[in-house]
Amino acid sequence: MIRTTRLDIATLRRQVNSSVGRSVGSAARLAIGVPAPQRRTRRRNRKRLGIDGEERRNALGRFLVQEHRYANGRIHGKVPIQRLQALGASWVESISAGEAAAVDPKRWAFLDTETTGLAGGTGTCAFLVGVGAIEDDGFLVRLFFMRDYDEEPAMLHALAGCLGNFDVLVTYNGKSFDAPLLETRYRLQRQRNPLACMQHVDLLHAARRVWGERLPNCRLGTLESEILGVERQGDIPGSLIPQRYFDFLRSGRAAPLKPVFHHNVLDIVSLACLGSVLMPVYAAPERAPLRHGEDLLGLARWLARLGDSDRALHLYRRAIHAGLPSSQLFPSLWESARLERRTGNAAAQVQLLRDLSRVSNIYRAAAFEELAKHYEHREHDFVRALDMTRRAQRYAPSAGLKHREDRLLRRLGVPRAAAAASS
Amino acid sequence: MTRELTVSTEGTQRRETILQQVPSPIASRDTSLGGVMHRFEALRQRPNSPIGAIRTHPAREARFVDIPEAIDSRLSAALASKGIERLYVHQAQAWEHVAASENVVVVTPTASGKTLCYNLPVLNALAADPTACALYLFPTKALAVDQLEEFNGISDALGSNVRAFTYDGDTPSDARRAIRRRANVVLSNPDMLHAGLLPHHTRWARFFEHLRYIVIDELHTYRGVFGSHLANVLRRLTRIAAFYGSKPLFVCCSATIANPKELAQDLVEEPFALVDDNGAPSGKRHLVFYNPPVVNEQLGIRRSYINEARRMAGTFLERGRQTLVFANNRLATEVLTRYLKQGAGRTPGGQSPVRGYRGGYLPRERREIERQLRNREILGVVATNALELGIDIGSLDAVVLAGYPGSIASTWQRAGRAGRRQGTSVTVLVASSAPLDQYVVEHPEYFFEGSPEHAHVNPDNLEILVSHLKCAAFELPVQDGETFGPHDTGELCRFLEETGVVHHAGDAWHWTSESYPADAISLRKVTSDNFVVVDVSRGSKVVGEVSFPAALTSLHEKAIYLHEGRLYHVERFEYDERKAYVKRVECGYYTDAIEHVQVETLEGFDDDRIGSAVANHGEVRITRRVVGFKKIRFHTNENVGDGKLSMPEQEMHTTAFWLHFPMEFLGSLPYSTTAKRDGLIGLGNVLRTVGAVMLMCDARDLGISTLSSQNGPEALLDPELFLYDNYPGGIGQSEPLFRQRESLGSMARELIQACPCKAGCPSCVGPPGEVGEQAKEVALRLAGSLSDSRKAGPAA
Repeated sequence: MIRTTRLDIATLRRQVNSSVGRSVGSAARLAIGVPAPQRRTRRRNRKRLGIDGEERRNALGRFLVQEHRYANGRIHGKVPIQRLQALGASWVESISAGEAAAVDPKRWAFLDTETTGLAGGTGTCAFLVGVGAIEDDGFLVRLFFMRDYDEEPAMLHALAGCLGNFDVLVTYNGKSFDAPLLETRYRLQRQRNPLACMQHVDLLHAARRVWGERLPNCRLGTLESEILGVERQGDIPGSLIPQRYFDFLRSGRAAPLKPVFHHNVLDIVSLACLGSVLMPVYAAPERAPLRHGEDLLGLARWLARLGDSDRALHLYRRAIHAGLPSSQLFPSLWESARLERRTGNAAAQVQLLRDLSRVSNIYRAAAFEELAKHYEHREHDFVRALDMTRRAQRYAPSAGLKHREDRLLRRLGVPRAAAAASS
Repeated sequence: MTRELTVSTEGTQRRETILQQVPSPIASRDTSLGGVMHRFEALRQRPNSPIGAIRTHPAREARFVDIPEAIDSRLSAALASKGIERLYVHQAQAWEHVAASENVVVVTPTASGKTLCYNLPVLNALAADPTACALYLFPTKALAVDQLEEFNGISDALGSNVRAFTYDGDTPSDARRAIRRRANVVLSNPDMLHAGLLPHHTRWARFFEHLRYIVIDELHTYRGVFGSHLANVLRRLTRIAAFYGSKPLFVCCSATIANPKELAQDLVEEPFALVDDNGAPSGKRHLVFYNPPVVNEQLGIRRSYINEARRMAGTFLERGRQTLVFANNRLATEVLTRYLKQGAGRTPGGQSPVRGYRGGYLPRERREIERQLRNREILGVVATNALELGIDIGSLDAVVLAGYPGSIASTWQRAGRAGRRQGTSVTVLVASSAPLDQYVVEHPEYFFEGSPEHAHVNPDNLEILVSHLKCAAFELPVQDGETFGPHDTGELCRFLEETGVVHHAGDAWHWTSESYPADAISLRKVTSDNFVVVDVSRGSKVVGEVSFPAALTSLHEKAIYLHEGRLYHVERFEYDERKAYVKRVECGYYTDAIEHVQVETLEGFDDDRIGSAVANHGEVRITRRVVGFKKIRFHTNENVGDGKLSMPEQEMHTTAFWLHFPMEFLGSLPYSTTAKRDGLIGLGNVLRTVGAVMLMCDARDLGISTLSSQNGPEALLDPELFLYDNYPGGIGQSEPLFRQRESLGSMARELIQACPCKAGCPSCVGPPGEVGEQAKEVALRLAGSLSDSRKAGPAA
C-alpha cells in the first residue's frame, strides 16, 4: 500500500487551487489562495452582547430565550389578536377532518424554525425555534436560540420541556420540513423527540385547499399579505437567513441577526392569525365566510373528496353564484352535475348538463352524452336520447357513441338500411 | 476508438484478398469444440502462425465440505431444498472466518458460488436474530437487482420474514420510507451510500443500530480513483455505524487480482482473512491467443481485429455454440453486433439469434437479454465490460475477446464466462494492433505465468480525503482529536474553516454551509465538472456530456465530435458556461488535438541510479494547453489540414515517476539532437504501455511528457522523461513504478526488440510519421541503457 503520508496544508491549498477545472489565475484561486486569517481568540470571550433576551441554563448547558408578547388589543394586519381567544377546542378536529382529537386551544403550540439551510439531511440545523401560545391576555412567542453549536443540546432540551406543556403542534409546512428536521436534531443529540407524542396540524394543506386556486402560491408570506393584510417592514428574505447566522458565528456581531428573530416572531403570529381566519371556514364550511368563488370551490372539492356531497354541493352553488372564471366555471358545473346525480337529484343534474351543452366548452360533448344516458335509461325517451347522441357525436365522435346510436335506432325500430339512409 | 475502427474498416476492404492468403483457422463442418481445437492446434504448427499460444486447463472435480453444525437447522433445510447439501471448501472457509468474527475477502473465479459465501452468514444471523441488518454494496444497480433475486431465492425457502430490498436511484420515494423502516438487507451501491444514505443517517437509525454485516462484492472494481473514494465512504460508514453503537463485519468478494487482501485492507482499514481455495468444479477449458497476420510490414498494419473476431465468433455460432463476444468499447460492440446479425440469419421466431449488450441499453432490455442467455433462447451476445461483472447469465461454450481487455484479471474474468461445469469451453483472444495487445500476444508467458495485476488505491489523496471529510462533518460534527483515516483532523478542519464550511464550537467542528457536500462529489472521478454538448442543428438538444479534461481536447472549436457514430462539428466552445454547441455534419475526417504538456518538479520523494539514467518519483505540477489540432481523414489516416487554437491553460498537481538522462551520457550517443528527442518520446510511449501493464491501469491513467518547464536548449540536452498520474493529487501509481523501475526498463527493452516493425509502429514506439525515422533505434538504445549499469558513466 502506498500512502502519501505528508499532510501538508500548503500542499492541500495548492491542490484546491489547481485542481483540473480551474484555469490558472482564476478568481477562485485568488480567493482561496490568500493567507489564512489569524486565528481569532477563543469564542468563549467573544462578545455576544447586543442580543436581547435572557441566558438560561439547564443540565445540558446554556442557551438564550426571548419572549415576545402580543396583547389582545393589538392588531396583526387586519386581524385583531383578540380573535385568537375565540378559537375553540373543536377546531383541531374540524381542520384535520377528524384525524386529530379536540384539544383546548391553550394547549396548542404554534411552531416555526429558522435553519442553517433548506437541503435537509443531518448537516442542517435549527438554530432558532419559536413557539407561540395563546394565553388569556394575548399571544406569547418564546424564541429558543443557540448562540453557537455547543448550545444546541441545552436549547433542544429546553424546547422539549416547553413543548411538554402542549398537546398539539401547529405549523406551516412543518410536516415535511420542521418536524423531520427537529426529529433528526433530537436523534443526533440522543434526546427524546418531544414532537413524537404530539398531534400535528399542518396549516399548509388547509390553506392550500382554500386559496390554492386563486393565489399564485401558498407561501406563508403570500397569505400574510393577501389574506391577513400584513405588510412587513424591513424584513429579511428567508434565503439570507442561514448566511446571517454563519456570519454571526464567525464575527460574534449580533445586530444583523435582529431581523431574523423578528422574522420568526412574525411568522408565528401570522400562523396563529391564519388559524383564526381558517377556523370558521372549517368549523362550518357551508357557511364559510369567503367571498371569492375560487376559494369556495377549493373547499367544495375537499368536501366532495371526503364524501360530504350535500355540503360540497352547497359550496359549489355558492362558488358558481359568487362568480368564477370560465377556466373554473365549466369544471365546477360538470363536477356538481356528477355530484347531483350521485345524490339522486336528477333534475338538478339535467339542468346543469343543459347549461353545459349550450355553450362551447370542453365538457360539451360529454354533457350531451350524459343527457343521452339520462333520456335513454331514466326517461326511456329514445328520440331525445338519439338526438343527444348525435349532437355529442358532432363534437367528439367515438365508437361508444356510435354503438349507442345503433342501439337507440334498434330500440326505435328503425331498420338498419333506413337508419343509414336517414343519417 | 476512432483509430481502431479506421483499421477495421480498412480491413473490410482488404478482406477478400487476405482470405486467399491465410486459410480460415476453422473450416471444418464439425460441430464439436474438440474439432475446432484440433484445427487450432494444426494451424499453430505452421510457420508464422497467427496462433500465439494455446493453453488448456483440465477439468477439475468439486471439493466439498459438510454444512457446518453451527448453521441454523432451518437454514440448512432451506439450502437442501435448493439442492445445496454440502458446501464447496471456499464457502466453508469463508463461513468459518465470519463465525470467528473476522473480516474476510473471498477470491474465486466467475460462477463458483461466491454469493453463498456472504449470503450464508447473513441468513444465519437473521435466522437467529430477525432484527439483524446487512448492507450489500455492488458497483452497479443491475448487479444489486440480480443478487436480490438470488438472496430471495434462499430466504423464501427459509420461509422467514427477512426483508431484502434494493435501494438506489431507481427506488420510488414512497417505497424508500418503507425500506428504511423495515429492511433487514439493503442492496445498494457506493454512490447511493455516499449521497443518499449517509447524509440522512438519522432516518436509517434502526438499520444502523442493527447493522451486523457489510458485503462488498466485485471488490476488484474499486481501484484507482473510484476505490480511493470508496475507502473514504467506508470511513464515513464505520463512523456512522459507531455512532449507533455497531461495528459491522465485512465480507468481500473479488475476482482474481494480485493483492485482494491488501486491497480489502486498504479500503476498509481493518485486518482481513483471505479465502482463495476454490472448491467449485469446472470442465475442460482452452484459451487461445490469436494475432491477426501483418498485411503491411512497413506501417505495421495487421488484419482488422474486428473482422477476425467476427470470423471467430461466426465459426462458433455456425456450430450452434452459445458465444459471448467482448469488445472494448461501445462503437466496436455496435459494429460487431451488426456484422454478426447480418451473418446469423433469423430464428424461427423471426428474431436474430445475436444481440448487443452495453451500458447504454435500457435496464429492461438488458434483463431480457440476460434471461435469454440463461434460457439459451439466443445464441450470441456482443457485450462491453458491462457483462464482465457477476450478472448471472449462465455459462457459455465460447468467448471471443475482440482486443485485449486491458488487464490479466479482466481477461480471466471475461474468459470465465465460458465454462460449463461439464464439457469443453474455449476462449479466443483476438489481439488488436494496440501496443498493449501486441505485447501480451507476443509474450504469452507474461499472461500465463505472471501474476495478475495489483489494484492500488490511495485513500489519502488529499483532494479526495478532504471532500469526504466535508461530508463526514455534515453527517456528524467532527470531534477534536477524531481521526479520519490515519489523520488527525484538526489541521484539515482548520483549513476547511478558512473556506467557511465548518466552524468550531464546544469540542467539535460543525458543518456551517447551506450546501449539501455529497452532491458536489462524484465517486467515479476526481472532478465532477463536465461539459454539456448541445446540438443546435435543429432547435437545441443536449446530446452528451464530456468530462472536463476530455472536453478540452475533443470539444474545442472546429473539432469533430463523434457520438453514436454520428459526426458533429463544434461551432462554439463556451468555457465558462461549460457548454459546446455542435451541428450535425457529414465529412470525411475527424480531428485530433495537439496538446502541449509541461512538467515542473515540485518535490522529489526518492531517486536512484538506474543504468545510465536516474529514476525519480515525487510531486510535480503539470501545465497543459491545447495549442492546435490536426484533421485526419477516415480510413487512410492522412493528415488533411490543421488549425491553431488558443485554449486556457490547465494546471494540475500530481505525482510522477521520471527518468533523467545525464548530458554526458546523451552526448556520447551518435545521433542528432532531434533524433535523441524523438527516441525519448518513443521510449515514453513504450513506458506508458508497460507501465499500464504493470499497474493494471488504463494507459490513459498515465500521462507522458518530455517537456520540463526549463525550456530552451538545456532542456533538449538534459532531458527528463515524465510518467505522471493523470489525476489531480495522484492516485498512487508513481511509487510502484519507481519500485519496479528495473523491470519497467527491461520490459520496455523487450517490447521494442520483439516488435517486428522496421522503424516504429503503433504497437511500440509509435509510427515513424509521428515520432521520426530513428525513434525506434534510439529508444531501444535508451531502454538498453536503463539496465546495463556496468557500462554506465558516472551520474551527472
